Amino acid sequence: MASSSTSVVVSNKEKENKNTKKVTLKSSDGESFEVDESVAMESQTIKHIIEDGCANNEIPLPNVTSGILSRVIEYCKKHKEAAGESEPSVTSYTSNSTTNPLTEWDTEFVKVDQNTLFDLILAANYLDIKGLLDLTCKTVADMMKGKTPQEIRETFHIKNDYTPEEEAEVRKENQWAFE
Amino acid sequence: MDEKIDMMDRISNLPEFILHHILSFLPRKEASKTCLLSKEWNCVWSSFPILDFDQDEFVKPDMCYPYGHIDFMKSMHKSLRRFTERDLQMQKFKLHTTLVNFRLTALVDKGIGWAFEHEAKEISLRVQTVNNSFYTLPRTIFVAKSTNGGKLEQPYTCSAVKFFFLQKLWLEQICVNEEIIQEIIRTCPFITDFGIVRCQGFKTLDISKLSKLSRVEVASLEQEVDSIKVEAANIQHFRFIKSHQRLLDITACQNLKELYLRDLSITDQYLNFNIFRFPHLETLHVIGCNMLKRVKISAQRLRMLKINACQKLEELEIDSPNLSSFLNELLEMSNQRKVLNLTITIWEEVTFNLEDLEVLKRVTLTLPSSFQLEVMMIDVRCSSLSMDYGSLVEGLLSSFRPKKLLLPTDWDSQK
Repeated sequence: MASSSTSVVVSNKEKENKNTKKVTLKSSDGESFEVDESVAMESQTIKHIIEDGCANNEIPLPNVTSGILSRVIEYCKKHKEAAGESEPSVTSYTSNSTTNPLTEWDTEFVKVDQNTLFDLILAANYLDIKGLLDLTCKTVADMMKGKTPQEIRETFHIKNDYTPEEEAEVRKENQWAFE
Repeated sequence: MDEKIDMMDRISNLPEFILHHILSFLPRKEASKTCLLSKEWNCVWSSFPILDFDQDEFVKPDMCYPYGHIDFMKSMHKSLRRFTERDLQMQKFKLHTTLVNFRLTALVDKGIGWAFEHEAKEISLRVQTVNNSFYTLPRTIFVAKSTNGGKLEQPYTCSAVKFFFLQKLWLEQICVNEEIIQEIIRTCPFITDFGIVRCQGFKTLDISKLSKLSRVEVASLEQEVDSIKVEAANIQHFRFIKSHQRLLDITACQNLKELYLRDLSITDQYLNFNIFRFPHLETLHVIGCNMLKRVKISAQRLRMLKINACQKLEELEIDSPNLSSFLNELLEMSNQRKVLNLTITIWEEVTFNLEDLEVLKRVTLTLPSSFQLEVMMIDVRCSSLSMDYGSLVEGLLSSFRPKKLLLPTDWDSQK
């Protein structure tokens, strides 16, 4: 018989007084989003802007549309909350991974169409959010796993510009991969 | 037409370093297939800076020596050579191979040499052998080439060479002597991660002079190493596994945040003494250390504690005010009956006693009323219980409030 009761909240830090500084982020299509500064600082790009004192009223993000920006903010919020509560991540050199308490949430988060996924990759890169970049890139990698080159081309609409001879040549050069 | 837009090939238009990042999540064999996608992808693949050659990916386990292994090494050599011809910086060079014959040694030497030449940031080397010998790291990599190009100097006189790019170094099943270790330390001052596993050839290991060192793993050193000294103030993560060291000195690592000790013959005094020296310790794992009997853990910032399979452990006292999550698997002792005193002291006194237990002689949990503790799991595996089953469960639940409580299903209920 296994059971769990309501678990008591973890935090043993001092309750932060409601000192939540906010910043406003403006998307490329003119929409403004007000977020906690600490959440916005999940983005190294924004963090540097704030730290350099260049964030006056709004921080314009001309490379990110509102649809994508709202998703990015959702990601940052969720991960910021989780970081405060969870156990310290245990890392091992051999496993090269950290335990992530938000795996399920992340998996749902990236269940989007390809266009959105690539937009998220570009946004994560532009805003320098490592966790989001890793998550989105890994998702694309998972979409490639186990597929033949033709299947990958079909998935991503990649045009095959090899002639049959050229293709045979490249295949021969990298023979071991196709055994 | 809208359909046309949906059918756009957006992936090929991503910047090359992002495509490389995507490829880094795939095993090499899968990633290499991308060369066939299109000519552009062939370029992306050719410049992929992670050179990770693991024989397990290439050689099927039932393939007998030496055939698969020789082909593997040849293919590695070919891939490496193609990459080096492009004069790009390597991000990572990883090689796991078995030397089925002596000729392959030269290929390994060449591989490492290229890795250093092309400024690999991360080098990981594991070389098994078929007889009892060990692969020896070649000294020549630490030798400066003269400015005329190509001529090797005397190994011990050069001092100009520094490999600032190397950040992570992992050596497994390799023979290194003290001189080489010193050469590594001298020439690679920016190493942040260092792992040395199942290596031999040295009596003392002193990696104190690596000032940027943050993560260290020392495991299964084959021979009797006399002493290991690690004195680097910036080390945050230290893993020490299965070694017979006589003297492990890590007391100078005051910024240690994570300590992982497994299968070691450390004594109570050693552990108690050392933990006291690490005021920033947040994570502590002590696994399979069978000489520990009475352990007191007193660490101000400890947030995660895992103690497992220490067969002789009788008494465990934890005095850590900031322990926010406590994973204790020490009850996992199969069928042995043990007498164990478990005391966790935190702030004020709110006690709960479980008495008359075969295994748990006395469990006292003191919690302050305002303190909030999250216990992930209590896994109880003692084989019989003289106490009231219901009370035990209720008691454990209400005081520990675990997220998961695992109990064996074959207890005789005393109700």
